[in-house]
Amino acid sequence: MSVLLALGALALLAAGILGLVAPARTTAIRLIGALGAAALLPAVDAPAARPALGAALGAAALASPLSMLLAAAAALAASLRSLSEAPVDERTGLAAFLAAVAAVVATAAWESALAARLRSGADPARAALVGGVATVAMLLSLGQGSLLRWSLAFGEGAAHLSLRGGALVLGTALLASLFGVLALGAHALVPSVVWAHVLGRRALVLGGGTSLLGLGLVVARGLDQGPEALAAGAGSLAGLMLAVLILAAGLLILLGAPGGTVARGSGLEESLGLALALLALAASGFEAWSGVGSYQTPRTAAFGAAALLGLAALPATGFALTRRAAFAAATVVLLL
Amino acid sequence: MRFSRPAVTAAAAGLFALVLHPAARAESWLPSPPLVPALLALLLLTSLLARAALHPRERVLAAGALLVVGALGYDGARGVRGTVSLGVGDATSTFLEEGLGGRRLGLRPLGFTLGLERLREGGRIEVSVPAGSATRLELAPESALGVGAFRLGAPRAVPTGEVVRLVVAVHGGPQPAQAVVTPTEAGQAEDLKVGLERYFPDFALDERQQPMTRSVEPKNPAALLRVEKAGKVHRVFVLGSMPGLHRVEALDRSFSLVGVDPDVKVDIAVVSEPAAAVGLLGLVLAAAGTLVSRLPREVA
Repeated sequence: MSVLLALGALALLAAGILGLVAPARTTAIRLIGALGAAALLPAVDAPAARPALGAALGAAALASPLSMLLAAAAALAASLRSLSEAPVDERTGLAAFLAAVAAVVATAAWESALAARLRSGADPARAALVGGVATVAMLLSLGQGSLLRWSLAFGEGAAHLSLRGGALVLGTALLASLFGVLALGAHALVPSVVWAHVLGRRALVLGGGTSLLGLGLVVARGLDQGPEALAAGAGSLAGLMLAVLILAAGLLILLGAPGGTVARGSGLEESLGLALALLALAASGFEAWSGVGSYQTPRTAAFGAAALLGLAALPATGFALTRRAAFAAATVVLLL
Repeated sequence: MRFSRPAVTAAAAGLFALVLHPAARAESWLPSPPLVPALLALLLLTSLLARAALHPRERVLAAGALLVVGALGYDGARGVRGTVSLGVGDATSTFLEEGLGGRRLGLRPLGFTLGLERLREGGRIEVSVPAGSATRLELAPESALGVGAFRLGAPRAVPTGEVVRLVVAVHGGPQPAQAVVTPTEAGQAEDLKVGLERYFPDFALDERQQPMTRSVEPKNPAALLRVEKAGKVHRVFVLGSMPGLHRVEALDRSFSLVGVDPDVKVDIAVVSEPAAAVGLLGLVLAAAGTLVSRLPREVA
C-alpha cells in the first residue's frame, strides 16, 4: 500500500516538475498526473489515502504545476501515514476528500493570479519570496519549533524517535532560508539594492537544497528506525516537501523558467474552490454531528475558517494575491 | 451602500476566519470571545445582503449565508450542551448543562431515563433507554445517537480514583495463590484473608515521606492490605510496579499487586442543535450560489 502511494507521489511530482519546465505540454502533464492518481486508486479503502486521491484527481483535471506538487505532497503524507498500524488522525471521509479538491483548485487559482501578475511585469523575486516564506514557516512548525534548539523528534511513548542528524541539516536550512527571505524582502522594499537580490537568491537555493537533503535524511532514518514515529510526523513532513517545491518553482521563475509566463485558466477556479470549500464544510459539520453529536467542533471550525478565507478571496479589491494565498494555505492545512 | 463594497466583504470574511480558526486560539486573547465572532458574522451577512441587493446574481449566495448565520444564532440561543456522568449500573434523568466556555449552569431534565449498562472495548459503551429496560443502545466515540430531543455522543471513561477489584498474588507457599479483593469484600488465598485498607491509583511519597496519590489516573497503582491469619492481622503494602516488594516474615509470604480494575465514570456529551439541518441547507445553497454568482461573468 505504502509503495503504491509513494509511486503515485513520484508520478505526481514528475508531472508537477514537467508543468514547471514545459507548461505547454498539458497532455503529457495530465497523463502523468492521471497515472499518479491511478496508483492511488488501490488505496481508496484506506481513509488516510482518500484526501490524496481527491487531490490527485483534481490536479490531473487542472494540469496545473502547483496543484500537481500539492497532490504529490498529499500522496507522500498518505504514504507515510500508512506506515502506522494505528489511525494517526481523524481526517477521513467525504469532508477531507472535498477539502483536498478545494485545496487543489485554490492552489491553481493562486497560481493563475501569480502568473498573471508576473506577466504584467511584477518582480519575479516575489515568487521565490513566497516559497521562502512557506519553507521558513514549515521548518519552524516542524517538531513545534524544536529546530530552533537543533533537535527534532516525532511520535510519543514507545514510538518516539529522535532525529539529531536531520535536525542539524534542517536547522541549517532554516537559517539559510530565513536569511534568503530577509534579503529578498529587503530587495522588494528597496529594489535598488541589487546585492540583496543576489544574496537572497543564493541563500534560498542553499536553504531549499539543504531542506530537501534534511527531509530525505529524516525519511530514510525514520523508515529504518521508527516508521510509527514517521507516520506521526507525516503531515508536517509533507508540508515541508510542498513548501520546498514551491520554493523551487519560485526560484525557477526567478531564473527565467517558462513556468513564470504560463497562461492559465480563468477566475472560475476561485468560485469553484469556494464552492468546494463550502461543501467540505457542510460535510465536515455533518460528520461531526453524526460522530460526536455536535457540529461545533474545532475541526469544523477549521473547515469554516477555510471557507471564509475563500469568500474573502473572491471580491475584486486590494491584496488579491495575498487573499488567494491565504485561502489556498487554509485548505492545504486541512489536507495535510 | 458602504456595506456592499468588496473591501468590506473581504475584510469581514477574513477577520471572521481569523477568530474562528482553532489555531488562532481567539478565546485566549479576544476581550469578549462570543461577541466578536457574532458581530463579524453579522457584518459579513449584512455585506453579502447589501451586495445581493445590487447584484441579483449574488442573491442565492446571500440567502445561503442568511440561513447559516440564522442557524448558528438559533443554536447559540436555543441550543443546549451538557454532560451526563454515569458509573456502570447507574441511571439518571438529568444532565449538567454547560454555557459558553464550559460554565456550569445546573441540572436540566433529559426527558427520559438513561442507564449505563456496560463498558466495551474501544471506548464503546452500552446504554439503556429507559434505564433498566431491554432496549440497549451502543454508543461509540465515533458515532453519536439521537435520543429524544438530544444527541448523545463522545463517551469518555474518567477514572474516579477508586478501585472495583484488585488481584493480589501470594508467593512463598507450596503453590502460587491469588486473592481477588474488593473494597467491600476480602479475598481468600491459601489460609489468608486479604482485605483492602487503602488504595492509591498513582502512588507517591510526599515531602514528609507519607504515602499519597498524585492523580486519580491508575498510573502507579498501590494498595495497603489487611492480611489476616488465625486471628492475627498484618498490614501489607503492595505496589504494581514492584512485585514482591513487601515480605511478611511472620507469614513467610511475599505479596504482589498483579491486577487492578479501576472504578470509572463515563462522561457522555448531551447536545441539542435544532437548527443544524437549516445550517447544512444554507451551506449547500451558498455553494450553489457561489457558482451561480460567478459563472455568467466568466462565460461572458
